[in-house]
Amino acid sequence: MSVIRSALDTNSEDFRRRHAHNKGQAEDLRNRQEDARTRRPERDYARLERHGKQPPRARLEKLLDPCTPFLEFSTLAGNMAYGGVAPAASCITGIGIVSGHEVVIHADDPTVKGGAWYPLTVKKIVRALDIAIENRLPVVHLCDSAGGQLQLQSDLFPDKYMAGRLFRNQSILSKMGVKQLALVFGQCTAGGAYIPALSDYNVIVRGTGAVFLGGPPLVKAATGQIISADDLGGCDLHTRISGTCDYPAASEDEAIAIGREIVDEWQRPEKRQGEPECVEAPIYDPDELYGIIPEDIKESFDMREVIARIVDGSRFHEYKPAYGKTLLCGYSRIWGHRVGILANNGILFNDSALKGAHFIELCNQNNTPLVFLQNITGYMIGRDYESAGITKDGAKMIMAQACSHVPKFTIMCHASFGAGNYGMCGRAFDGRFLFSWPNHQIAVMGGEQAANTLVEVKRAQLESTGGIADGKTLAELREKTLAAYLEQTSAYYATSELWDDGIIDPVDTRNVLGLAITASMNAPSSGPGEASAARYGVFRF
Amino acid sequence: VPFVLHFHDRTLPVRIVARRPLLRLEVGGKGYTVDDLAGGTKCEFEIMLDGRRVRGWRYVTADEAHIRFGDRTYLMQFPQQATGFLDDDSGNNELRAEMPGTVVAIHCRDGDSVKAGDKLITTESMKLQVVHVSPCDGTVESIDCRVDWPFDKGALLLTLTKVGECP
Repeated sequence: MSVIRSALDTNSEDFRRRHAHNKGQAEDLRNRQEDARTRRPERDYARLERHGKQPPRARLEKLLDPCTPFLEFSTLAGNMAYGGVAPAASCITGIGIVSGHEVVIHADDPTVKGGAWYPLTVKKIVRALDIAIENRLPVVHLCDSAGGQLQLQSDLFPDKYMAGRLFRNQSILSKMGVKQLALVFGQCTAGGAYIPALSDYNVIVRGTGAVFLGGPPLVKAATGQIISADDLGGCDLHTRISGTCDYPAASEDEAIAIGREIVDEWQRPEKRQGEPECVEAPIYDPDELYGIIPEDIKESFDMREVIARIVDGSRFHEYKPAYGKTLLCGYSRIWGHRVGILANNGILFNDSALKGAHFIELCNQNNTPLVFLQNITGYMIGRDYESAGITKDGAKMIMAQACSHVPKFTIMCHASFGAGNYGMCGRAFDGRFLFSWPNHQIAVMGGEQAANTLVEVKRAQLESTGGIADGKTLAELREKTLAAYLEQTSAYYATSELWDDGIIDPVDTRNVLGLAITASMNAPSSGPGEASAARYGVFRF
Repeated sequence: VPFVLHFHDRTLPVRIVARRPLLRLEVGGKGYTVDDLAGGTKCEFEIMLDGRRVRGWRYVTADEAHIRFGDRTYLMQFPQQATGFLDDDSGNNELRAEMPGTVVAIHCRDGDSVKAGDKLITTESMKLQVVHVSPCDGTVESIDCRVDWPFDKGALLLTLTKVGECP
């Protein structure tokens, strides 16, 4: 497989400027992530200590195997919601290694409002359990939550993908034979009580752990009975009398030790592709990615330069290099795993869309996982392109992509506007994982186009009602719209709303993809020739 | 750049043999010398064709030109223009638009000497800006567009006279 020859001039003014800019963005990202992980008022940590509890990150560190990577999801979920009071959406999710097993972690965060579940907390945990289902990964729950935020209950309780989905997902996991363990460190109230109850195994800490459908305040309100949490649903009640919990633990550390032993006994899954043997690092330094990404979302760049800094040995076997050049397609390896890469090198035209659809079919035929590197401003519009069938060609690409049976992974490298987002495996298309770079922007159209469109609508509205559209008012409207639009277009807004599995530092892309692909290999594939493999809907020709 | 001349039911290939000192064309195997008198307006033109003065009118769109002289109107269709620079026999390079768009910035001036990789023009189509760089060392012969000008597919944006070999 041939090595990509980089044309990047690392001494150029452009490179240096971009490098400084993007490195700054990456540092900003790391600072925000660090804040979301650990920055809390001192009193919150003090309260935990008073109750003999540990912060959730400390529990996690003791649970995970030493010196193993933890692929954390959506660290900045909720960063732009609820006025910023729920850092990381008040929970931790990710994939880590426990006793040599890859497991999905869900940990409540009692340092944020007693671990109360906000709507985005529920969305984040549901997503983690979806990941567990799709990739057949066992789950370890670290429970310590006061229950749902009652003021926001209508946004977290009733709908299909709200709180009930957690317990639905838990049940489905169990049905699939994927194991779950719950470690009960604090309270599991109301719906939260079902998390340990629906886990195959659970451990409860004496004195602080409690499981009940109604907590002491509700019991008092409903029946007048005054009772302590421990008497109502504590360790001894559940491990000696009700049988709701399996193992009593004298301390958090003991609970973690018991949990690690339980996981150690679990059967090891067989991976789809064997473990990679000899892995080449990219020959170009991933740090140079900072010098490639333009500051302006509208500026184009060559995705080959990005691929060269992500894949093994910077090797890329490009498919149809002379046809539909605005969509790069080709084979590479990432940490030894075979992948088919689709990367945007411009607007999608008829030929690039057809090439993409064909390449996706080839990868499905060959059981090759797909990696999408998005920098897409859309499918080409205009009469010439419509008459050439751009809509039906785009539809072919979407159909091929959506019906793929191989695992799909998406990195939002830069722009993701309009229908290009669909063709390139946006969030709606059930990719196994989707991560964004900090510079990423996403919207149905570009900010400037949206602002101009709205200003035109406003002008027409004013004129039709006899008003006068003066330039200053319209300019102000445009600026205001643009500012609001840009905020909602940003990667931080997207990750706040859980439209991705987290923002990553571009230099980590290779490692994140490596971990994600490895995790995906736990799920069996429907191989070529099997009934479910390579089946599509009706392509419009 | 090869053209195809559709003349009633006949299709004639047109080849530019030379641009300087005078435009020399080969149409259907027969050679003609054209001297543009640079007269007329945007639509009207006046040329010397093999020493004979010819006046006519033209209307050009992105992929075809309607030309009227004598008492007849001819339709000339351009071939699908590939992007970027195209070599022709006279050593010229033309930058033509790959798709409709707008000129965002011009980074050079008429007569500038440029090196391979120097930025020439930035265009924007579909929210995506593309910087067109020089494929080789050369001289900017003419800039055929202006900032903020919208253009159609195939429009001529810039002409470059090549000095060195393209790397």
